[in-house]
Amino acid sequence: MNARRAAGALILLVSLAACHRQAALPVLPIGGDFALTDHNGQRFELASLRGRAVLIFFGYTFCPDACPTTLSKLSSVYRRLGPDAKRVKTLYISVDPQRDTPAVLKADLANFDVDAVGLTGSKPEIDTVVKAFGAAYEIVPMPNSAAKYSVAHTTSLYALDPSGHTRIEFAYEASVDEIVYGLQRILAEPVSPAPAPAPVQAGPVVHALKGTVLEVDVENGRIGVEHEPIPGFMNAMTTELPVKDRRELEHVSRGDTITARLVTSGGELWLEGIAVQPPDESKSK
Amino acid sequence: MKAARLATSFVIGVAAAFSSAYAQTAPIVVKNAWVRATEPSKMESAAYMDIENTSAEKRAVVGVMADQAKMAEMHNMSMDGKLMKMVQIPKIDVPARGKASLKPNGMHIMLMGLTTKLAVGDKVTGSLKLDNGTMVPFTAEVRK
Repeated sequence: MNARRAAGALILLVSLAACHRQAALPVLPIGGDFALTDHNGQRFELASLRGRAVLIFFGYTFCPDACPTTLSKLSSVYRRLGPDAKRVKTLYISVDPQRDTPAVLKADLANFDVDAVGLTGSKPEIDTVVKAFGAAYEIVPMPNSAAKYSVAHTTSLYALDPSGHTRIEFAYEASVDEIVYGLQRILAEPVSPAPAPAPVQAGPVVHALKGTVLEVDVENGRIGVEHEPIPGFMNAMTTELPVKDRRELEHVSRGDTITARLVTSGGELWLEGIAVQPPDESKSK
Repeated sequence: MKAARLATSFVIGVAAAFSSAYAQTAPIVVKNAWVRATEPSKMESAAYMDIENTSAEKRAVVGVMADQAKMAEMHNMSMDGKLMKMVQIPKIDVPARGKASLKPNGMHIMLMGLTTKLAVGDKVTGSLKLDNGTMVPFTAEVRK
């Protein structure tokens, strides 16, 4: 919630940027490294783009209306960036993995002059990224249409700095000028001395998570948790995470303070080893 | 079934369009029609246009077909809170002495099952079916 409000405020700031130069861009508490499948069917890791600014948006190729609008706007952005265009990569993440195979994404992107990678993956993989960015989508059934369904989705465009931190959330209405200006500010920053988010590794990576339980969904094996920062991996945030063994959820309830292992492996992410902390112990820590 | 029926009415519509009698009584005109260009493997695109009504009677478009697509439907894109949502719409109202504008991020005709690549400069032909049964032909230019 706070992240969303902060992002909203930032959008305002960005739209005022033409008149007022402001202090350094904040680091937004959204995003983080992820792995998906690219439009050539290869594993793609966000961490492979360190050193370049990255634009990310969510969409689906079956939508012939709004998604191409974003891509054509971005082709103008690339033209306007001139030599800096080489320092910016765009990621088009599909929220319709059922229809958006790598081949479909590739064909769609070929239509636009944007240095973009189309990304798809399993639904849990995509959901993890969508949540990490505070984005959302939902399937809209269209029973009388040959399309069968469409996908309603949020339309923000996220700009990441060369160390992989999310710095600007642009509204759908952001102009080419605003996006170009935002990217120029990011690219003009001195190289951040702060450590970059931990690169995604091939094998399982385990992080220690500590947080407060907001919601328990035993049936679907998911837990809503407001967790503390996970250094080098994720900022403190409220998120929903899959739990490998849903039986672990049977002894957890809303309001509990928990510790757990947050495991990432091959683009999948889950919680395991959930332990409920006695209230006293959590205070003394 | 429906498509076949539409196709038949379309042929009649086109034939009628060539007779001057039809032209004089056609109060609905399509202007500025264009279709988004696609790559060869892409099966969908969208058509946009202004549908003008020169008569004193309100009309509605209740069906649409295009020669270069197996299916054509009327869709609308709108914001539902923070979500951008695409839904099918049963008709497009065209007010008396007014117009309906189909443009990106709003109402559009979704073309599905394209039978040909749509390159810049190509033409897409089709027709709109009105609530009074008339067919209005259109020719849309393919653009980027």
